[in-house]
Amino acid sequence: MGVGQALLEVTPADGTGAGDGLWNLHRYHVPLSSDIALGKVEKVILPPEAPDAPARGIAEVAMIPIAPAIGNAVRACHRHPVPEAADPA
Amino acid sequence: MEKIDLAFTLNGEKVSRTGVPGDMKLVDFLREDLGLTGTKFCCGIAVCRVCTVSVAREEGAHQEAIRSCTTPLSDINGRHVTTVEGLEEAGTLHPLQQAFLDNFSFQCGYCCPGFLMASYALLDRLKRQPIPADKVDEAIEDAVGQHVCRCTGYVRYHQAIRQVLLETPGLVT
Repeated sequence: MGVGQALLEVTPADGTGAGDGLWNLHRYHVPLSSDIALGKVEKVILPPEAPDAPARGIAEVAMIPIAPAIGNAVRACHRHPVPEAADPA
Repeated sequence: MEKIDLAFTLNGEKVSRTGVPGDMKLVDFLREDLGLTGTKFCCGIAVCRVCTVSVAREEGAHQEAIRSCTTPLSDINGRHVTTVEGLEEAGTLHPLQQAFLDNFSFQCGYCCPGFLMASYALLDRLKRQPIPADKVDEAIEDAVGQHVCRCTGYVRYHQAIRQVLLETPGLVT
């Protein structure tokens, strides 16, 4: 679902997309297995930012990292190093 | 709407009705008339493949995965249909069902019967015509590559099917 949100699924906030209730899968494209890195998935679980960091929901785990992960993968394919995050300090 | 006399075999049992609408969709007949709700309905336009069942032209003929949401009853006359309810034998799950459970292949489970029946037809094909081990992934993609799953990302479905294909004697050369 994260891959779909990042690459395929148009969800305009004004309700003119699939949310109008008239779209079916001929218009609303969702990923199939050929869109997924079958057997080539590496999961990296980062430690919490602080000991008192709030609990995360399962959807946050499944959805939020996917678009940046795809961006990173594309960069990696082009042999560009992925820049490290700036040190907040 | 033309009425037809219907007679076919479902999960090894004869089913017959007189005066049923010939254009009634198989999924509706399974769910509404026979109460077999294992076969799911979703897009209704043969895209998502949730409603897949397996059909053989006659007993012992090769299994073909079809979409029951767009298959009229008039096409089913005389055929042998297998649904997810017909997979277990004497209370023992089919190896595909067990592998799907063991691999946590599904989460919500709605797409699962479709994946099962398409894989079931694939198994039947490989029993008749085994393939080299390096063609297994390609065969799985052919069989279930158009099925939509929104929960697990397909990885564990493919993993489970691959496991069954490789562990069942005679499917892979």
